[in-house]
Amino acid sequence: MVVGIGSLTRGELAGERLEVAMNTQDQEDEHSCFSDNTHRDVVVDAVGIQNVWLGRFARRDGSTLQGPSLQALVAAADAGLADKTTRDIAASVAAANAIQPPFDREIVGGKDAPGRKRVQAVIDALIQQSKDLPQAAAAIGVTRLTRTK
Amino acid sequence: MLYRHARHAAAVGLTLALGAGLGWAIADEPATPADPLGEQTAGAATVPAVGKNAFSFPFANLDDEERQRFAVGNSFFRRNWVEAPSSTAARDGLGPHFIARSCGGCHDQDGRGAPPDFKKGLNEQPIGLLVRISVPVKGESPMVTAPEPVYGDQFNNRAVGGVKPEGEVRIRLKPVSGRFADGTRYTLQAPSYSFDHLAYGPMQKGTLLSPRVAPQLPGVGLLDAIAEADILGNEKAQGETSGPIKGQANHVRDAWSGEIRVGRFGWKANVPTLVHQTAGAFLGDMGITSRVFPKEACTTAQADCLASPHGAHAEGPEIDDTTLSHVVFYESTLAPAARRNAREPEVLQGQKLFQQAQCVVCHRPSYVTASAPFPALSSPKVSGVTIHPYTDLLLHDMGEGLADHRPDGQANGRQWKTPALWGTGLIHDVNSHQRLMHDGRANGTLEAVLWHGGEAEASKQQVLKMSATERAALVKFVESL
Repeated sequence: MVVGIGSLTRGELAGERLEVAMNTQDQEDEHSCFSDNTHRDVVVDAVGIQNVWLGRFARRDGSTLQGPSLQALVAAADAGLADKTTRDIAASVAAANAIQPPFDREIVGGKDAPGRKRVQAVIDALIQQSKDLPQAAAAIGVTRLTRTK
Repeated sequence: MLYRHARHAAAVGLTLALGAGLGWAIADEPATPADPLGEQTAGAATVPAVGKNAFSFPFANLDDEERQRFAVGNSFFRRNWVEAPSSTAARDGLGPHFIARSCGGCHDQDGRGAPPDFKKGLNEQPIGLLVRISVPVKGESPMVTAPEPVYGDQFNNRAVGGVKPEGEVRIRLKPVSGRFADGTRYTLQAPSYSFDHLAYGPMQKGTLLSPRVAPQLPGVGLLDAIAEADILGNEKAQGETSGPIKGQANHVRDAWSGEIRVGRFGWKANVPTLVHQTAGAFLGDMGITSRVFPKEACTTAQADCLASPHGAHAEGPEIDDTTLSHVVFYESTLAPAARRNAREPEVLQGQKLFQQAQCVVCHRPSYVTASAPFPALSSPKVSGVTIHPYTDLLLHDMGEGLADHRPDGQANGRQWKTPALWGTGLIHDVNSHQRLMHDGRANGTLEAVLWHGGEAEASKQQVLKMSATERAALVKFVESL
């Protein structure tokens, strides 16, 4: 679980989906270049990570499915660290929600372009989150995160 | 256009699945100051990785900014280039002739290519295995070669629409049997190569062929950072020692700097720097032009190739220096994995046998790196690292069994460069095969040893005299690297 949400946080969402698009400023490098739905993809990717961390899923009817969670497991070992991780993941979701459609215009421009700053804020939040997760994992005794066999 | 677009989108989906481990490795075991077995293969850069993603992790000590560059380089390494003119402006200009659509097409998961699976019949075309071609120049002795006049210096068995693929590669296998001293029989498969369905007419008589398999990447940035003096030191030390092993450095012109440097990449050490190797592969294998290789590899006899549209609106190279630098940075910072099982008694026994059989003379275990040849294309973290790649980066006569009889730079037709051995034990995890040697003819470590000849003949004879237990230990040691 930790390897899954960790690599989705850093490698896929921050790296492949956002940093590459920011670098090339090319429509072809956005998540959903046909549907122009990239701004929502980023949000639901971030929420997906949050769901796994919190062991929670908001149903369409508004009710919540809640089960055991990584967050609770980590909190039992280090409540402060669990809280920080929860806050940082929430910050990523909030930053993702601030991206304005269409994404292919959001990534275009110079260093101070408002759209680029909004996307960069998501990247920065995800990088912070990617540093919390190994610490959280270490708190519950999971240290080997590069062994995928 | 939409069709092409859709294919590209499919590649994105594939990338998502493949990118699972990307960019998220952390050093979970602190480097111990004393590391007599070289378990930390590359100091603080080492990643303790196994499994499908084992070759795809960045140096454990990369900082945030470097990880971003790694992510961008990874994207251009893995994702497909597209036939020009396309809407995919950043990846426009595949071909006209090519072998693969991306670096990752041959170096699957940053790993190693293989010959086609012969069990599926001999008609499947190779991808991670290319064939270099050349012709002897008349009246020159020793032999000097030039590109084949119609097909150039590399055979390309694929092409974009409207352009003919150059033809098909045929591989025939002949079993070669032998016997260990204890009576155990073994059988190797000796491949021979020819071409079929040649699209531009026959090749010149006496054309020389040299098949080359795509090696795995982790550690290439560190090999790039070994001091030339160390490689030349290997040459000198072997020259001054009695015995058959006399390695020779290849001296070749570097495309990036224009300088003559010591070769270290390619199966003939015919390329001196990682950026030259990368730009060369972009042109030769994918048909992507760069500042240093600005012309598509079409010969004057290939009118359809010459007439085919160029990428980048024909206004500049198809990959610009910035993007190329990100790809080279990415390759350069792919982390060697830590050794596995290094302290097991069987592995320790194998290590002793590896030394006794003189394997270590060419497969030199350790170096301390100097610095990258072009610091802007790499991380400072490649400098001053204690590494354990197991190579002398020199050319050696490997005997008639392996000879391709095709000179390349200063390498003659019997010489091959000692490849690094780090990562050998993880090829199966990553690529689900263990095809070794320059054309993947060896199936597994022991077959690779048995293919050794020439300067390595005496070492091989020692292995032939080993017991089954000793052979198993030797293999286990190599696969712990």
